[in-house]
Amino acid sequence: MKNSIFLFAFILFLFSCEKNDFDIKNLNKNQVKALGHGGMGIGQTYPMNSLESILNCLNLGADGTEIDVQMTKDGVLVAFHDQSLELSTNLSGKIYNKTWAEIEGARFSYPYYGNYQLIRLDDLFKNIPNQDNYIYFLDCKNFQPNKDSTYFETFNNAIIEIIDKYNLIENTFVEFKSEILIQKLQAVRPDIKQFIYTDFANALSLAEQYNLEGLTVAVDQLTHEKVELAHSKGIMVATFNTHSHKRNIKAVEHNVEFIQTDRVKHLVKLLKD
Amino acid sequence: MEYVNHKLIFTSLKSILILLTLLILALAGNSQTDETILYKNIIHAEAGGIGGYGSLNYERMFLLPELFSASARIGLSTVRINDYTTRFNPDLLIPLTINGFYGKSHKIHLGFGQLITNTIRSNHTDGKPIRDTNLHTHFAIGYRYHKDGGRLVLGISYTPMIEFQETYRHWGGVTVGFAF
Repeated sequence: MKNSIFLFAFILFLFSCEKNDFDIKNLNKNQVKALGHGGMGIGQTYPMNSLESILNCLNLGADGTEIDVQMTKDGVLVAFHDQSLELSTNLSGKIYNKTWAEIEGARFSYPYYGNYQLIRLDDLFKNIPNQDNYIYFLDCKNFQPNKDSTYFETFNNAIIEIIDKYNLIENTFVEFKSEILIQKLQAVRPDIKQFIYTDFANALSLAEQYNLEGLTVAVDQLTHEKVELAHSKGIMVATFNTHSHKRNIKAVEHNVEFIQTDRVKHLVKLLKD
Repeated sequence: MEYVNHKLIFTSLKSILILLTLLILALAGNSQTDETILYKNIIHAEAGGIGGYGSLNYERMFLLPELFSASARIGLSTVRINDYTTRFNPDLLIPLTINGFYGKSHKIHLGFGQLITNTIRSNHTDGKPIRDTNLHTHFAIGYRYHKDGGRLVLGISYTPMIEFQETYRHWGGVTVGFAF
């Protein structure tokens, strides 16, 4: 009986010491960068895209973070994920139908009793110490249904203003879902690095066509072969939906360049240990 | 905004103190003999419930005529221990509740109170952690098992709250306690 206990303890010890050795080969000097998904990610104790969530993620040692970006009616960029405010705040309506003054002070609904508030992108970057030490993916959520040339111009100018103001050109990637938005930004600022975020086949085709830095695909839609195909064309790969330890490991094994994780602590430990 | 918040907090705290004082004074004249309940002090842990994810509580029972009794409860809970800078800086949640009970060993109860939260958030001007104090009204409707002279206390409650005195939320909790 005593021997069995020792054997069990020994096996447990061996498993606890198991180390993941990854043979990483990618376009980012063979390094995978650990990014937060809107900070600490979905379903964590800080709401996604709140200043608290993003600072917590960076303080835990992440290489950077993805941030969801929307624009108000009066052209202010706001860090927010959902299409409607009522899905995760105490206000209702769409951000593109509101002015910043109307939504300033909006409180995230979860976690209970937290007094975490919506933040402008400008305030967010202002409050990140040593901003240029981190990598940012600006995931542009252009929910506005009728986008005209004024909208594109206002949105692009707002993005450019933030990138230039905080000197983020080297370490920021702008993520778009649609071709027209890629074209418009590329036309005014070809030096801003862009990622396309859609299904793999479409993303690969657009990335090649517009000579983009990379593509963003959910981890469950990725395979080793797909990543190798993108790499063979000089296109980097970012992935998300890694909301478990297992998925973090799977994403690293795919040799992607960037992981926007919902399990920041685990991924940081996995890559830096 | 800040001024309104503090005013609201002080007004609500004042109301709670007055209610508690009145209840204790009223009950002092109506105390029964110790034949009904031997143990009037309860320490209990509540999973979920008024303290959010859970809380540790002290509750003092007061005996009323017939099968009625009442209690005043104070608790302590937290949401997280470290703040977003990863430093030790816990959120504090303090539930204060007044309950009325009906029953002998099997009791139904009805209660209300305030949850005082003292939580950390970031200052959007300089990014530094700051503490916010807020009040949230809560109610409690539930069942409790506490046998006369018994030390075990078990309970289940529906504990809806009005978060920030603004948003109604459904919530519930399960209690396990020790009477002494």
